[in-house]
Amino acid sequence: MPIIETYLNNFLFAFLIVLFVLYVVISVLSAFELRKYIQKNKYTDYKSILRFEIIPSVSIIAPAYNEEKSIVENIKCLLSLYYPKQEVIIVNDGSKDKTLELVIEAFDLIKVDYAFETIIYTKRVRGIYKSRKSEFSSLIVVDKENGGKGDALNAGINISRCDLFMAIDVDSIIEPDAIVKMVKPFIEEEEGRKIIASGGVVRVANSCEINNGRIVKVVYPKNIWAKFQVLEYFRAFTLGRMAWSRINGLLIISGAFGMFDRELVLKIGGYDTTTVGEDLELVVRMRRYMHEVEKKKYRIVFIPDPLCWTEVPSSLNILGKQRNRWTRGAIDTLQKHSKLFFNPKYGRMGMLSYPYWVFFEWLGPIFEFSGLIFFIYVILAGLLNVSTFLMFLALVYSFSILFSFFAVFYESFTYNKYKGSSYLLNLLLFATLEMIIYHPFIVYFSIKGNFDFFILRKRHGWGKMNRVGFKSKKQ
Amino acid sequence: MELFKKYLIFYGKRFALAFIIAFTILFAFILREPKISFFGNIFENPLYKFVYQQSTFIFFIKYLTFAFSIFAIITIALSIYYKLLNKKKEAKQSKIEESIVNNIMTFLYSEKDLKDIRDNNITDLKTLGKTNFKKKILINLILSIAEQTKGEIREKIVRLAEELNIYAWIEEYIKSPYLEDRILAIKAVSHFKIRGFENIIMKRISSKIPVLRTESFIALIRLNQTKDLSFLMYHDKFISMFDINNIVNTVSELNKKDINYSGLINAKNSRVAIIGVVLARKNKRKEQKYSIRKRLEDNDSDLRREAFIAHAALFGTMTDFNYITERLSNQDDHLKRAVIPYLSSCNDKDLLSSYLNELIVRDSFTVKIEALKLMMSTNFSSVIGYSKSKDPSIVAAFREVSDYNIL
Repeated sequence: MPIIETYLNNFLFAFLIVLFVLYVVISVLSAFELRKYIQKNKYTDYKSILRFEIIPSVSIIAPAYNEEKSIVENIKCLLSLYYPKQEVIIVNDGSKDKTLELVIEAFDLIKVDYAFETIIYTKRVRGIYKSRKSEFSSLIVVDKENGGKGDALNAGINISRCDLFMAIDVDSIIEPDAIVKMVKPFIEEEEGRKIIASGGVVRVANSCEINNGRIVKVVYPKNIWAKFQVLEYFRAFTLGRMAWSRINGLLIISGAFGMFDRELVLKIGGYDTTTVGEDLELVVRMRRYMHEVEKKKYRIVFIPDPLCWTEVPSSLNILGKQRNRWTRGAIDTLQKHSKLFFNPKYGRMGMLSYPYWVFFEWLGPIFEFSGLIFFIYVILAGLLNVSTFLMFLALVYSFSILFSFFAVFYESFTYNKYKGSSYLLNLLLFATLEMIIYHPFIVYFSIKGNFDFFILRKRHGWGKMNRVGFKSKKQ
Repeated sequence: MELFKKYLIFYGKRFALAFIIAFTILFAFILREPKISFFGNIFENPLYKFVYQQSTFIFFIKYLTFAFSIFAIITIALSIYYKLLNKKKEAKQSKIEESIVNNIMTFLYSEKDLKDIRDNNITDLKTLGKTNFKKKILINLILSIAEQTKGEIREKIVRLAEELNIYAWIEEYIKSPYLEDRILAIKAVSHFKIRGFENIIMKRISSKIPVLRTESFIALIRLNQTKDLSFLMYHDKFISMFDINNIVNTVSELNKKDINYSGLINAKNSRVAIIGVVLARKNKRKEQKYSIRKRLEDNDSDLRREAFIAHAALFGTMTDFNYITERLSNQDDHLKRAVIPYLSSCNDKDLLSSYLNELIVRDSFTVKIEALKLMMSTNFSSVIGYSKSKDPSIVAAFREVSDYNIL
């Protein structure tokens, strides 16, 4: 083999080995962290927190854009979350449908002179609404000009007067005890180690039975793409984020569900409205601020309890748009914070988390794609050693299946939300099919994201995200 | 013996896991040897003929594939096993729970005397002590009933615990290697006021495991370890807000009066002082004025905030008011906002209005709103004037406060 081909061959093999080692480390770390969390909280009486004298206040901030189909139900769900010091801020981000009108009518809202300071610049706020009914007194509805998700969240942060805020997607379904569980790490803060954010597990709600904005029956999705994503979410949240949380290296808290220290977010200027990966960018900036300005020890905590349920894309088209956006968001954030790359000044974030994101989250799919191109070349050039190829294929395949099975095992062993043995067999079947059917698409969407970002210069668009909507029990 | 078995299982599982991993690695090397020597005996390697021709690299790849596949199969098997086990366990647990609850309810509400009931119910319940699984269900149920009941019923439950001799089990659980066993034991000790474990629990208030620490604090207070909570005074470790709240709530629930407020407030550990300050405020201990004052300048922001709140809530004379407001000006907005609602206890309403006016004119926007809110409830007529202020932020704050739709 010519020298360039040998180098490429060796490089791809080295990448594979590093990836394997990393995944093994992730599995081990997440096992420790998950076990520790379950042991620690098994006997915690969360209701006792509701009677606490000194607890932080929490604003739930939910941006809404063209959500007329489900907004009323979703707000009712948010208002029923139990926590003594909370307010729900719905930010209507210039919806073109009847989102605002429906909310005004359902909750008997009236425009009020609610005072706020524009600490973070946002698009113009047209009005703030409060309910005339005392049972909805914790609800604040903000009507503003369209500025995107980050801008809507920033408007909510400006209006909030609470210590913490929980950023959520308005169409997500949040478990009733979600706030209490997310707040607990903040009040459990150890000496000299400030908790700046907490993130929670997001689970797939497609096909689940919903009633009054609550999951009444967890059902394994019927849609093929949603089935693959269940597995993907198990791996990403239960294994990946738990492991990063263990070593305090978490760089992302899902935009659908995360809790943050409001004062700190205000200090850093809120969400970056110029990126589509605002959730990742915010966490990176918060961490940088702690290193560069505050120079204090801090932690970002991850809660493995399934507290948030979301509808995932059920068509390839929508899935492609979502992954394209995720890729563009990641590249944008990594570029903006390139200073962190192997910079020991930023501790684990600089030496581990950031390089991991560069090599495996961003460049990983590119390497995979290069490997495919190289493979095609090797075939065409008649250089393919079939037995060696099959041997490597078996190695990669067996490892990827093992990793997925491991995630399934954790779920069955711990929270076991999906019931029935058929679900388990189904999931195992999809774990074996994932590499052949689902994974190539994910690599393609990522490559497309890179192409759109670098070549087409499409950096800010979200793309139209149509959703099927949840299946209500009544339907 | 039971405890020994627990330790054996606890370390046995870990050893087995370490052994499997070590063996998997070692087996790769063993396979490459034609003969294996084990304690002087030499064995032929039957698999050698399959691997001897392979290069180390190829062998390594194949071996890894084999190991991953085997582990994947084991993982599937374990997933199915635990799924079925959980299902079986849940069914079994609800059946046992039902039976225990029936027995306990008969015991609690029967009109017969204890001796008669013992014959009918206690014997049944005692048989549960044979397995660890059933024992835990029983203790958990008794505990949850004890937590939710008061008076005669609670006394009966404590008597039942004595009759069942669950104390003997507690000794086994409190020293168990399993965290959940330890917590269960501490909870039982705390609720049934079982003596003899104070020293073990005392050590655990310094544990690195938060939940163990919390339960230990609660248990020591319930056991009345030191009558006036003085065990806290010598605690030199950091206490989280979670523990502080739990301690305050436990003391309040027990309606505990014998508290060494001064000792707590003046404790070297600022986190202990927070407990003292909050309790002094809740129990209106005005004699603690000077102790609380000393804490107004503390470095711990949580203590400082609670000291300000306690001082503002408890002392309303002109001198006290002036004392606190002079110091409040140097604090951050967060603290000011927390303290302002408590200033309403000031006896001199003119003095209060004049101070609130200062805050409204000079302070930040959020402080203005809090000050206006308080002024609205204490001196309504003077608020109207702010509607014509030249400062737009005051007008905005006024509009919010005067909008009756904003609750």
